[in-house]
Amino acid sequence: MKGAFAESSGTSASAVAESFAEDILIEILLRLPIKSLGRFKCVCKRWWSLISDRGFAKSHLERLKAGDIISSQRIFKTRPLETINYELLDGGIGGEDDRAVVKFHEPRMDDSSWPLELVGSCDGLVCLSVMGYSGFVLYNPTTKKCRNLPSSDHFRPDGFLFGFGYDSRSDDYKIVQSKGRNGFEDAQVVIFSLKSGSWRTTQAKLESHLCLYERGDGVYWKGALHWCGLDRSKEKAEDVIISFDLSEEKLQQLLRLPEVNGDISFEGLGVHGANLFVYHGSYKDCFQAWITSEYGKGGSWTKLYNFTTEGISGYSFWRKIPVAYTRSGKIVFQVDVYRTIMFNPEDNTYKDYPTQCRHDVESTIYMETLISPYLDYEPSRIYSLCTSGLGLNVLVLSFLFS
Amino acid sequence: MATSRKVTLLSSDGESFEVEQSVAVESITIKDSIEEGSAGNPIPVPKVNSKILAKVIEYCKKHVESAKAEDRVDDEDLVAWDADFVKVDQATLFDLIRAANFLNIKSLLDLTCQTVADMIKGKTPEEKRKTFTIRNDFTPEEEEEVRRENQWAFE
Repeated sequence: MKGAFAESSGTSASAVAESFAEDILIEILLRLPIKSLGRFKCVCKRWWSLISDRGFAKSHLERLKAGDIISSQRIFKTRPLETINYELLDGGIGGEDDRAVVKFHEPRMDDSSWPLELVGSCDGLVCLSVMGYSGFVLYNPTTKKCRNLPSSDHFRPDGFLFGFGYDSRSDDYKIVQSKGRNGFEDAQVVIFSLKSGSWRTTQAKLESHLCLYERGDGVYWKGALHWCGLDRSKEKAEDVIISFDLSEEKLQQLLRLPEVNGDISFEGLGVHGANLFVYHGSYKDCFQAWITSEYGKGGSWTKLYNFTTEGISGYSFWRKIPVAYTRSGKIVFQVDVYRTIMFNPEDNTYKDYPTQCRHDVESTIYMETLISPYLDYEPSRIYSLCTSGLGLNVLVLSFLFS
Repeated sequence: MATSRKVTLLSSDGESFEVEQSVAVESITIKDSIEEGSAGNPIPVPKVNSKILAKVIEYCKKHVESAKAEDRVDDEDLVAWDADFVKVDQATLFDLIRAANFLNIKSLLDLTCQTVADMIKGKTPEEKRKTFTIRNDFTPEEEEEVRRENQWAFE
């Protein structure tokens, strides 16, 4: 058996477990790939406890963000639910294509009768709303931890704007809903706090000359949700970015858009690595995009992409939404709400991901993290067994994992 | 001027090592005690024996030199040197980690911890299971539960 850990060859996980003080052990564990961490939870109670700790998950997330983000990113799509390891299609190794797409069966998230709609993705948690707004689901596609959340009392079947993101000031994840049809015009915003597990209302006024370009979910970036919008205070309507700061819980207009010539209107926002990404050309044969890494009025934009997309078969008016970017510079597009493709701007070719589609697909990127939708506590029988053994004073919640 | 100043480090087993101050201060622990004026002469380094201290000094010297070099040492060359540096037996590697932690030498801690992480991250679940049955303090019932909850990591 060519094991690297046969006792004779030396370093085994248990040897490491026994040799080190906790702070050093954590330094080692933080450098392990995420599936290894999941497996190592099964080594012994001490490691189970260390790896399950929320502080550990946060440190692990920080390291991911400081390093090579792309290797830990995947795509999450709906209808039906699938995850895509999109880099696998870029590399030309035969037989990888099928492995790139993972269909998953998650009975607690059965979306055949109650379609799930994407709200947002942050720190490895994907937030979905249940059609009919009878609730929300918070899901970590890596650890498969799933949590159902109640809907707010303010129910309105159309015109809701959503967003999901992290507020560092209160160390909390929030879901934001606006009641308005087209945006925030009636200033009523309801916010769900994951920490408190409840909804509350707040006021967030958008000045009357501003409106959102399109109803849709806000893009989470640097502690705020962002939408493309229009400023109609001047003669010619100007494209702007409108942000909802999750700490301040206020609408702001801090970011300028790139200076452009010609007939360009910014159609959508996204995230590219650690940058905010804005693009134009969803409906045309050309695609242009810019990125910025800085916040505030001093931030400058860099043009990242400018290429023709004639190579994509089909009618040119089918909408192309950029979802992810590979290390080699290829772009994953969601095309005409059915297909997901990897497009090579250098030679105008593309490959299809073998995804399934029932009807309008929505996609987002997520990171593979240990962040739990339950934050600090885990509904797990093991939790009570391990933590009581270690003498920790915790409120023991033992849910049966069905 | 600071670079030509030398300090003497005393290992836990009584051996003295004379090094340039610029090399010694790669260790934040030593740097702080020098700056605070609390470092003796020689500077005692408890918990780190002569074998390990010699290795640590070798690492720090290499890294200080390559940062100063007129014709900068290629990053690739330094990475290769680092990879060779950690090709030691497990006991020595573990001792290097403890020394890097105690002496607060971040780059050495990064290198050695990453090396151990790479060694244990694992191949097949079967090999993992074989390792884990040793000194496993989960009861069979607990182990089944924890495996079930973390099935995602075995797929």
